[in-house]
Amino acid sequence: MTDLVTAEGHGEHISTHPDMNVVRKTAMWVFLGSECIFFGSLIATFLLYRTETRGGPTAKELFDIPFTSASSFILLMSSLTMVLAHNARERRDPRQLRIWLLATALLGSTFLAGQAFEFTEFAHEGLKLTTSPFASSFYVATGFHGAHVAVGVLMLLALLFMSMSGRLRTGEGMNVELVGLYWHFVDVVWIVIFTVVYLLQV
Amino acid sequence: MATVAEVTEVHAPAPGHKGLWSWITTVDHKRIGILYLWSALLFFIVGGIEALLIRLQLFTPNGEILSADAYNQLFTMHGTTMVFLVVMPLASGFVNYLLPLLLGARDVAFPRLNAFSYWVFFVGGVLLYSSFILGGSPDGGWFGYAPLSTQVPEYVRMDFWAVGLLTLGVASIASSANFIATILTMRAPGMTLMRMPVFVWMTLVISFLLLFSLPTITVGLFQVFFDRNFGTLFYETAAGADPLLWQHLFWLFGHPEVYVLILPAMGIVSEILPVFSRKPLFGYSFVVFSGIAIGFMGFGVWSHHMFTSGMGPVAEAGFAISTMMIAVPTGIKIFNWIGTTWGGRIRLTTPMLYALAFIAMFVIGGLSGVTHSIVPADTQQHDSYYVVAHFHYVLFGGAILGLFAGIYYWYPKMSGRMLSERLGKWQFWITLIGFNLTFLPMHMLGLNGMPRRTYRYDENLGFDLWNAVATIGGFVIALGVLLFVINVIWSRRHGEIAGDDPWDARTLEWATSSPPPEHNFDQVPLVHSRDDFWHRKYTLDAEGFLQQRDEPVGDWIPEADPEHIHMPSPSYYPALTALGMGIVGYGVLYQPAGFIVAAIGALVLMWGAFGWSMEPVTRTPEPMAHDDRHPELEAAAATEEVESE
Amino acid sequence: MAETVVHEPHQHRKHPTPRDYWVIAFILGVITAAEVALSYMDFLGFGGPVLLIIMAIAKFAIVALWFMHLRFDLAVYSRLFVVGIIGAISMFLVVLATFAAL
Ligand SMILES: [Cu+2]
Repeated sequence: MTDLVTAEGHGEHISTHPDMNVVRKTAMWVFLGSECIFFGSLIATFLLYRTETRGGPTAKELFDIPFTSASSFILLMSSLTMVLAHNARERRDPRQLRIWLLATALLGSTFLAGQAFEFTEFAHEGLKLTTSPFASSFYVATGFHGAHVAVGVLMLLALLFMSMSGRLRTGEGMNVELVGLYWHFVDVVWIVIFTVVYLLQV
Repeated sequence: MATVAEVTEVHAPAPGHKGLWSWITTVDHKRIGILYLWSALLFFIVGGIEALLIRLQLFTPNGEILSADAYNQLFTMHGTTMVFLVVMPLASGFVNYLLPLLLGARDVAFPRLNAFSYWVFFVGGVLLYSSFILGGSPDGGWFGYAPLSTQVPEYVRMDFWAVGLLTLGVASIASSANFIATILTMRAPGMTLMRMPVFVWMTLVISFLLLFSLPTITVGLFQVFFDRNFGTLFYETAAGADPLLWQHLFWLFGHPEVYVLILPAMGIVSEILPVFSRKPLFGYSFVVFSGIAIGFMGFGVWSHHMFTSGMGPVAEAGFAISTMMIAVPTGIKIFNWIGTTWGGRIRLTTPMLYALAFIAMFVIGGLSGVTHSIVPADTQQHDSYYVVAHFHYVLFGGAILGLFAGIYYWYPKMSGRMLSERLGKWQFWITLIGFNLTFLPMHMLGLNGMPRRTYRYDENLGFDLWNAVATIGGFVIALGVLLFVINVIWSRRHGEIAGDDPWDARTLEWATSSPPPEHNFDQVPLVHSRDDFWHRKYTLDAEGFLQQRDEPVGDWIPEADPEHIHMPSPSYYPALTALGMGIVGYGVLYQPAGFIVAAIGALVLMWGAFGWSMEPVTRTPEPMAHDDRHPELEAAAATEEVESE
Repeated sequence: MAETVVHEPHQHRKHPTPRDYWVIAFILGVITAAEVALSYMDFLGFGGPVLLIIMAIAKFAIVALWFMHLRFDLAVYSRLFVVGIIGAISMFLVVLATFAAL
């Protein structure tokens, strides 16, 4: 049995209030861990069905690597602007913060526009959602990624609004660091999708 | 803080704690826990009625009570209800109520996210059950095997199932992240990980299991929903798709889910056995690490549900071995529980009886589970009543009995009053006998070849007797549950006053009043050991004998400003956000017209989420203990304090 | 995870400056360009895909370690994230293996 500890002096400083930034980041990271499984399921489904084209267009015929690599590059650069926004926040430079937040949101929107363009192109070339298991799994996997980007853009705009109305607080509500983690994660997922779904299939 | 013997009256609810609106906007983990528990109890009764209807239909050969269609709906909803709307929220209720108390914290990490989880769960439950009046309830089994679940898209039934489970999944993901953050970062000073109560450890494991298993079924459910509604081809065999993918995605979630259902009960039993044996938990670290091992290994056994699907000998052998191995950490726990009671001074109270019955029944269910790991035997047992018998021993004999133990154990803390021990013991024996009467015969039925999920059986197959016995047993269980409901309602008004620590317990929740104040602890405890509260009450004398101290001794961290402990303010945004999700859910069920509804729902959702992130956690630093908006309650509380002295 | 996680760690590693971030972004851009070039080099045979996967892992790691600050933050964050990644990879490799689809 453990020895019975009685009251003892406590000279060192003991805080009963945890650092809320640590609490929030812990939750965010564990959520991102969970998201890995989510995108893992989508990508695994795509890999299972990558050749089930049912006579429709195949990956090789369809994918336009220069175009997709350009939009990949745009998303990568949005990670740069995001981290610069975070840096501006830490330096307490609201002007730079707003500039970089806006830049990130714009780059994210550009990526989304590229995805919309790509989807319509593929549809014209005969790849509808209902064409083949390959088509379904391609559109759903990349589509869910796009949905994540869209949510990220909304959050960035909300941050921008909060910054302008002076309601951006540390340790409470949404903050630049948490949204940043989410945004980089979405970027990292695209790195995987770009390689596994696009480059390895052509 | 009042001491044990002097409490004669249960505290009046804190100011501002009355009325429906206060429940909708509450962010207090204790009240959210109570919401979960009541909702789960309600669904338990509904799911039980479904089970009784099933049993009535099977009471005699060629039963006439239900049509095949009604039977399909009932067994689907019975399974879905018991898993997602009863056992999970019951566990969630306990975790919500107890986690901060057990850790010596004032609340969970994200009180509003916690409220959001509850309301999303609530919306998901309403969504699933509203299907009964909106074209029939889901009828493809709780596991929704594709392509069965992707057939007949004209009926909205399995759409309700997919959307309902997706909604419930959001609730579980949010609360899991919340609990993990709470456990990793909000513990009282001195509460190291290896000093945490086992229930907290199990909560940690469950949260990880949910976070890493729910995404697979989420993707699967989206695929089923898209197949049904947008013509995707994920499970269309004619187009070259492979429906086995669904089985993988489902069981990658489904098997960890089994542990999600059983580990809370294991945690509860690990708290109860030491208290009523007056001994510390035997082999604490073994119990903890075997719980973690179960969590990890739980992700490596899913395909034992698919032994008859023709995966090939390598995969089958691999999953057979991993399934046998996962019995090892489970066995370790059972030995530790038995070791805890060994040589203890045992008090056979109702919670203890339930905890002991949990061990016995769970061993039976666990052993029949191991028989499934042997592939040739499993091929025989697959889809037979033997499997039904097995998982009811685990889920009823295990999870539900363990959760009953928890209710009897913590009801005094939650309500300030004891449940009736007399009624409790009656209920215990009736439930236990009824349970075995219902499910033991199902082993025989299954081995004799009676298939699951069939609404009728012919006479002369040798199924008559055991089916009749099982049906009678089902009604005996119902009697037990009725006694339980009576007990809970009666004791709320007339139960014996519990006091802070009625069981002479070991963990920190008993160091505060019953029910605890909104801020849980007037001062945050400084923890020095495992079972800290026990060590505050007892010490060893010179000869090494246990001595009760005259008064609990222990360190509390002084509050800088005890009159102003900031607790998060009530907020309606979590419920509003959940409502938005519900509207989106109904909208997508009835597209294309419903897309307008879904868009409105999305706007409500965004309004809720935006308002939520704009709103500070604590709106105004208003005094907690003395609220001048309710002078009459303040006065009442004051007189009460005088009387109790 | 044995230690109590309460406070931000001491900043033992020097945090990157905006200049560092631009350099990292430049490296990421270069790797992406190399990936595109590589995908046209069919003569590499089996080596091509392997190189592509290695480059993707490199990009992934750079973003996670620098942009997401994992290199400079609490170890518990990395562990939580890595559990997810390893879990996803190992589970779905097994799933695809049972389909003989790798
Ligand atoms: Cu299983």
